[in-house]
Amino acid sequence: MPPCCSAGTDTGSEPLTLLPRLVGSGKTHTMIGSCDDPGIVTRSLDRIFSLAGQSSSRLTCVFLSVLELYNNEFFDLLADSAGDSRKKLQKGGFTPQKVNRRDKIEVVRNGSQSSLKGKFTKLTVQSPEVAVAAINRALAARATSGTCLNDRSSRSHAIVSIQVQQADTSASASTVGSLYMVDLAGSERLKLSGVTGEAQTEAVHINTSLSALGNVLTALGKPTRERGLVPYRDSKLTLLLQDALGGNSKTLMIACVNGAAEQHQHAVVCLQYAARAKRIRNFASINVDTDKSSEIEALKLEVGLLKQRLLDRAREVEAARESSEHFELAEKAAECERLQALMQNHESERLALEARLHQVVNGRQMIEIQENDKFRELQHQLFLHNEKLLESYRDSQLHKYPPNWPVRGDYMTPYPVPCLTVGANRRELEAKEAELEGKRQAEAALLRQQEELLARNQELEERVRKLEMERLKETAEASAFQASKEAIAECRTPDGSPLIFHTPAPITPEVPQNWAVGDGRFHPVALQTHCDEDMERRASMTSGALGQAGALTRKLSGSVKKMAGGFRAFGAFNMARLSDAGASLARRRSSVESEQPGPPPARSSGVSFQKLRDEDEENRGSSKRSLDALYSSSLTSSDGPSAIVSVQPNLNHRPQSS
Amino acid sequence: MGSEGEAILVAARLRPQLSGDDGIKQCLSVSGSNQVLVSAPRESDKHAFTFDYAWGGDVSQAEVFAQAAPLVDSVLDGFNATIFAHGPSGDESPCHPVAVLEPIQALNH
Repeated sequence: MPPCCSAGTDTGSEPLTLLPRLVGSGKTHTMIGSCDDPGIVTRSLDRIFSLAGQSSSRLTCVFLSVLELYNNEFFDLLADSAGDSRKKLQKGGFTPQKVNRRDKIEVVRNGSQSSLKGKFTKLTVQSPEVAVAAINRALAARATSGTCLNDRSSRSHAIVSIQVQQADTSASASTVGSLYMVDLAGSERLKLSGVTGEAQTEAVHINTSLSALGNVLTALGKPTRERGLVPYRDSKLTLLLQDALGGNSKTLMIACVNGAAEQHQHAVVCLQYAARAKRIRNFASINVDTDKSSEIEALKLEVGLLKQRLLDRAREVEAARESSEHFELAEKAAECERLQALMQNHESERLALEARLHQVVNGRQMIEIQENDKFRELQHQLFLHNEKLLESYRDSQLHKYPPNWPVRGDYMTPYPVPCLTVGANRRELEAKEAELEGKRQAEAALLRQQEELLARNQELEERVRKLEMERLKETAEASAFQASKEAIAECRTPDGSPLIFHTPAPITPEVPQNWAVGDGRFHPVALQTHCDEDMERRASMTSGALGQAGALTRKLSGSVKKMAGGFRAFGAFNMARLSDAGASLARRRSSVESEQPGPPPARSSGVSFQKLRDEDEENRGSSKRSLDALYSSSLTSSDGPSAIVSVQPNLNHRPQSS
Repeated sequence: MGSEGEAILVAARLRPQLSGDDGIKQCLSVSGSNQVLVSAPRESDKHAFTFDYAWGGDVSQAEVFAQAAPLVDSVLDGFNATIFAHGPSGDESPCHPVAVLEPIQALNH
């Protein structure tokens, strides 16, 4: 193998070989194409499925097979081991592999049409995507190799067989159309393509099949009567294409040529082939599958299988559901049993607890009864004891009190109260309290009198203050008068400005006739004499009144002081007496209480009380007397001028002459 | 379907021009929709082949398939159909490898 062909099919990967130019005629490009620019195969599948999808009344089944014719043997390219058997064939030299005769793929004539028979994959495809994927997978396993002439020379004929079975749902008949798409390997001249050995064998087979095809085409190109036997059987390729060439098929033959001038000869040969094929006439007819062919059988079988699987699945689901239900039921039963056991447990526990409760309650009742009995016994004993005590007490009392001594209280009162003694004492006490109340009332009356006196005193003081106020006013007037008199004497106003008498003076209501001067003006000398006289008169009057008032005030304040002292003394005395009486009473009461069990003291309290009353009477008399005295003194002092009257000194320094 | 039958469809397709083909002299050309002209230095070698379809190098895959589509449609009606492509695999001129790069897998070993 020349170096340029080194990398190839053995590694299964694309050899990246750079050649000066790309040769090849574009057969594979036309049929298969590339992913970006698909060829006839892919486009046909798309079209078949789109057309099948349009009619809803027809059932369409599409079967796909991909084969290759390599060294005059068919190989299934869709099989999982695609390429393996061929590789064995390649490695094993020229001996064809032993294959079971029944499994061997052969072309058989079935009546007027040829079909493939043997063990090969017939894929049921549902969508063009699946089909194209399968085809791409299959073609990847196809035998190609880079030769000197082409980097990816097809070393086998690839056959894509698509069977379209269409069943009309209403009619029993169905149609079966087969579409063969064949990508032939290229013919080449061995001595120039540079292949040897294995590749040479391939080339030999390729050329044989192609020459057989050429022969068939030549034969078919002749008129029917000159034709004779068409050599279809020379090659498996021509056998396969028997229908396509002059049989029951519509055929499109595409001659792919390279327009390069160097390939001129090849191109012309190829075109001559094609021109020969032009004369071939086919007799295509619709393949109606009336006798329920194997396809229908296969379909039915498949449908049955699918149904069976569906049923199995449904059964499985049912079984699963049932088992799950069974499981659930079992679970529930177990739960029930568990709950019942629990209930039984609880019941027994409850019974035990109840029994225990009964025991406890009975025991309690027993204890209660015992306790009650004991209590009653004790009560009885207590009662007896009390009786005894009372008896003994009565016995002892009988010695002290007359037999008809009233017994008060019940069993629980240990000693009877000496009621008579207490009653006498109480009466005494009540009398004393009444006395005290009377004293309190008298004291209150005295206090009222005192208040009256104080009010009177206040009144007097008010009068004195008024008089004082009057005196002060008069003094002020007198001084003002004096000042004005001096001013007049100096012929000026008291504030120093010269005096001009235009208007009559305000304090001269009556002016003697002889004061008036001929021109209606007052004579200052006459006026002054008049004023002096008036002043003296007023001063003497004022001083007399003031003296009287001062004497009165002094007398009043003295008598008030005396009265207050008397009151205070009297109040203190009374209070002392009252407290003494209260204390003695308290003493008496406590003594009476402490001496209760014994007989009451015979006369002591009465004597002391009498004494107290006498004292009280005496006190009252004295206080009244003193009060009377006070009253009389105050009255006499206010009535007559018997008290000493002294003239106030501030009046004495008043100037008697001016 | 007449007694004469139906002629098979024959088409010729010129390989699309690739980048490596620049400056290579071409001897084939398409004329019209169904003629392939073979140009040659000698006048006697010149040919004109007429087919059902003739596709130049600039015809797209979709345009090619447009002529194959009726056959595919007939398959759905129950007819058999065959589409096959043939052609020479290369020329007789010796190859001139510039470089051979091993596959990446091999490099990784």
